[in-house]
Amino acid sequence: MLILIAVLLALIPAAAILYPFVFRRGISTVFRDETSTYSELTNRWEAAIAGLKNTELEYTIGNLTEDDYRDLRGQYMLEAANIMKAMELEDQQEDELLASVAREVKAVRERLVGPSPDGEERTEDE
Amino acid sequence: MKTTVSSTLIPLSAFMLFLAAIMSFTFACASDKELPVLEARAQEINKTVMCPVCPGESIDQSQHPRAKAMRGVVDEKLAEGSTNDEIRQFFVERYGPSVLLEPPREGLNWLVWVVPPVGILAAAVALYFVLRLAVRPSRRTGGSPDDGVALSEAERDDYFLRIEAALASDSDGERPPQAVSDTRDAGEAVAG
Amino acid sequence: MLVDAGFVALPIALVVGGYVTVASFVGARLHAPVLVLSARYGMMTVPLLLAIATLALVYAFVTHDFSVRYVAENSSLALPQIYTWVALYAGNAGSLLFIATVYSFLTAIAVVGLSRKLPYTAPYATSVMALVMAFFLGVIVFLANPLERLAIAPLDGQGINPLLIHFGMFIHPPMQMMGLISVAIPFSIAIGVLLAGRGGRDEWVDLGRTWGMVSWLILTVGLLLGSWWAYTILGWGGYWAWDPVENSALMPWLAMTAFVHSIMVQKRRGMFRMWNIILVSVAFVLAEMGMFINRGGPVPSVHSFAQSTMGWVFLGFMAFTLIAALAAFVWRIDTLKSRERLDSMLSRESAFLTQNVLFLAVAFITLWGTIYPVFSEAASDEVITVGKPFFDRVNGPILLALVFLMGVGPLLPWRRANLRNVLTILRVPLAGAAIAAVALIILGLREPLPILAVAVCVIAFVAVGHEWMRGSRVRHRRGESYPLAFARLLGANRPRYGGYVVHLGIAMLAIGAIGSSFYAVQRDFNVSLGDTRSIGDYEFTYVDFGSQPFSDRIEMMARFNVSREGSAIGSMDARRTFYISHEVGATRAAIRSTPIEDFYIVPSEFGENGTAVFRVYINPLVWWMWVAGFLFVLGAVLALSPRRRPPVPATLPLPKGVRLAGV
Repeated sequence: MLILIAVLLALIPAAAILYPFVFRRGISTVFRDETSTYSELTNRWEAAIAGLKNTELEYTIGNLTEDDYRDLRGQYMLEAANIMKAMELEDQQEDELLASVAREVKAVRERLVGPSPDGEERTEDE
Repeated sequence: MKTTVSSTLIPLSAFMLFLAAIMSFTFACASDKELPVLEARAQEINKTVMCPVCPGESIDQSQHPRAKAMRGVVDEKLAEGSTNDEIRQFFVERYGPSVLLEPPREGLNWLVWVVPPVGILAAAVALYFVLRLAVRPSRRTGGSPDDGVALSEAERDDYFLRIEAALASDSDGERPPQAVSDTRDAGEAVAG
Repeated sequence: MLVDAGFVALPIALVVGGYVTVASFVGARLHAPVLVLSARYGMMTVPLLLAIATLALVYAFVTHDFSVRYVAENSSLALPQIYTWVALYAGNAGSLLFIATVYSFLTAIAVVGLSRKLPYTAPYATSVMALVMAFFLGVIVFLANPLERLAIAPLDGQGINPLLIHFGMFIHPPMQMMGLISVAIPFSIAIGVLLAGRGGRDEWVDLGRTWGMVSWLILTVGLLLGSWWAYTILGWGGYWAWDPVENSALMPWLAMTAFVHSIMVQKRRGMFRMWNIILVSVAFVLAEMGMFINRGGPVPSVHSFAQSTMGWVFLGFMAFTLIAALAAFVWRIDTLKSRERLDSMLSRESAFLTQNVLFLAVAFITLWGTIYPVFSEAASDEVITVGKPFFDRVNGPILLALVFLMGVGPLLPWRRANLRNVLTILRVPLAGAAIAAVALIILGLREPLPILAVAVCVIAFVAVGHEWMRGSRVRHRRGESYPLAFARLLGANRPRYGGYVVHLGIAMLAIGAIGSSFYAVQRDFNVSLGDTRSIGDYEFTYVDFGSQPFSDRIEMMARFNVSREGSAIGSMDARRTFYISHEVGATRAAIRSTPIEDFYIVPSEFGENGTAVFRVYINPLVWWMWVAGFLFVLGAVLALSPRRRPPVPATLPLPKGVRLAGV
């Protein structure tokens, strides 16, 4: 009797554990990396914006002197601007990468099939 | 008109509240509840002597019969004229030094008292030097981030405009960064 | 049959825990998503299994199934049904099951959040969480199984420890245990981050901060409830005795308080990366100590569960945690460089670091005092006691320094503080403190220490209030009414001001502690029925005595008519219950609590012929300590409340009429 209960109960975790081996759903998202250049830039961006707002607050309530305020604001703005630039570069790099991949695909296709008659564009970027 | 009235009213009422709180505190704490000297001394001793059969409790707080008996001994000895220390010593002789809730400051037990302040001092010194060494050397350069991303003047101005615009629209009510002279509470901050 | 199901569920859960530990880690290292998912799903079934086990135990209690050893040891036929809840965790095995069950639910929530927000780190963190889980389950299955059966079922159980029959016992131990085990979550996240090689990144800080604050809040409430319970039932007029069990609950709280502050620095500046990992690891080891010290540690205390070899098993696991965390730390140490550097020695960051050091100093001293008797006995064969007077004397000043820092620290801006400016702003709080001190002296108080302590608290109160006033005034000038300005100010800066609310709570707690520690009055009275006595402004008359026998106890009740400064305030009942089989007496003090003071009567003993000895206390300001609890909750909720994230740069619109340079 005890054994029966044990087996029945054990089925629950067993089912859960074996489920992914049988139904392969959601596999691709398991190792999504939360860290990336983009996420780091986003973190730093949020920190810079938070810093800006906080500097603003601390200045208005009088905890910061005017000199320190201008200084820090400048630092945060510069940091934010640099991050924006870095993000745009990232996007640019990604766009260029996608464009070059598309060009390669097109080249391979043309080699296999022959050049397309009226130069139809098969751009997969964007 | 409204601004000046409430701007003095609020600090004034805060101050009144403050005084009221102080007075209530005093009222709560002070009173002519003076205890007879012997009783006060007895309480003081009782709180520093442990009940040997109840783990960790003083004879003042424990309700065990042994604790009660010991309290009786304290009262007797006080009536006879012993000093606080003599009474404590009496218990130490009967039960050993573990009967005192505060370790005596002699022999090896000196260690238990010395280690904390020495430790804190060491930590304070270490902290000072860590802070000293950790402070970044360059300050007044306008804070160039170690990004290696070069920005042209025009680019920087563009970005700045966009950031400011974003801050303005995203504002939770804080005024966007503008002319600094009027938004600051400078006068009040200094005058208190 | 349910009991059998519960009994069987435990080893199954243990096996699952072991599987998750291994599969999650291996799956992550070998980049095998199926293993990771399998482990994740397996982890989510553990709460179900443990819930079954817990239900089984509850069922056994409710049906008075004394064949289950734990039920026989912790309940009796006379036990009111509702105390089944308390009996669940009153004993060693039951409390371990309780901890494991609560922990399993917490980990399930954590795993869901981790998989969504930190998918790369999640398997590592899950593995660590599962390891801790497997440990507890292993101890339960092999050393202390609450569902274990006795060969012969007794006819009646032994009943519950009488000191636990108090409504505070419904919530203090569960909260306390939940608080202690919850520290495992931020710890697991931090170690998981290390193992994943992501220590140099700060993506985990949001989740780490959230769980850290949740854990802190539960620990705080647990501690406060424990103090309140001690105050109302232990009958010695106090709420904190620096008892080893109390200390072991305090130490992780100290470390977590340090952590929730320094994690902010990592969020904002990418600094303190190494320090935070060390801090949360220390917090968890201390939390382990808190959970284990009840179970046969070598230190005696007011409430130990058992003296057994289990203590050594736990000590071993603590050592293992310490060594493993250290190993992970050293392995990944080169990933833990700070992103930014400290700007100035006078700044909020350095204030946080100082605060951390002070908190850890208190924790260290508390640990030192708690452990020292063991050393002394081993080294010199002399047993000494390190009790309340020691801790009061040594920790007191440091705690006061912390309150001072709490008042001054928030005045320091991030990154860089200008000393002259800080001193200028400090003028108001310091003036307040000076006025307070002078006023106290004028009004008659003379002892320097409490006056100093109150002055320090005043600094904290006034600094916060003054900043709020300054902030509200600026917004008011832009057209908002004062109440609206204040509300909007807080709403726009909830983490900062939620923290300030907690600070106000601490200052309030400190005031209550100062009042009751320095100005409490106590006296013992020998009275007969009908006598009237007075203490302070109170007069009380012993009017009635009743004694009621029950099957397992005798309840004695004493009634008083109390008046204050002539006007009657009603009657108060004090009780003393003597439990026959346990040979223990439990008291229920009669307490009349007002914001000004508590009037507190405890029966010491009942004699013949209607005579009795009562101890009476007047404890000023204790009420404020319990009220502070609400501020803690409010402040933490404010600080934890979700905020809008700032818009991402790519979506920022260009102002009209501006062209982008380049491109």
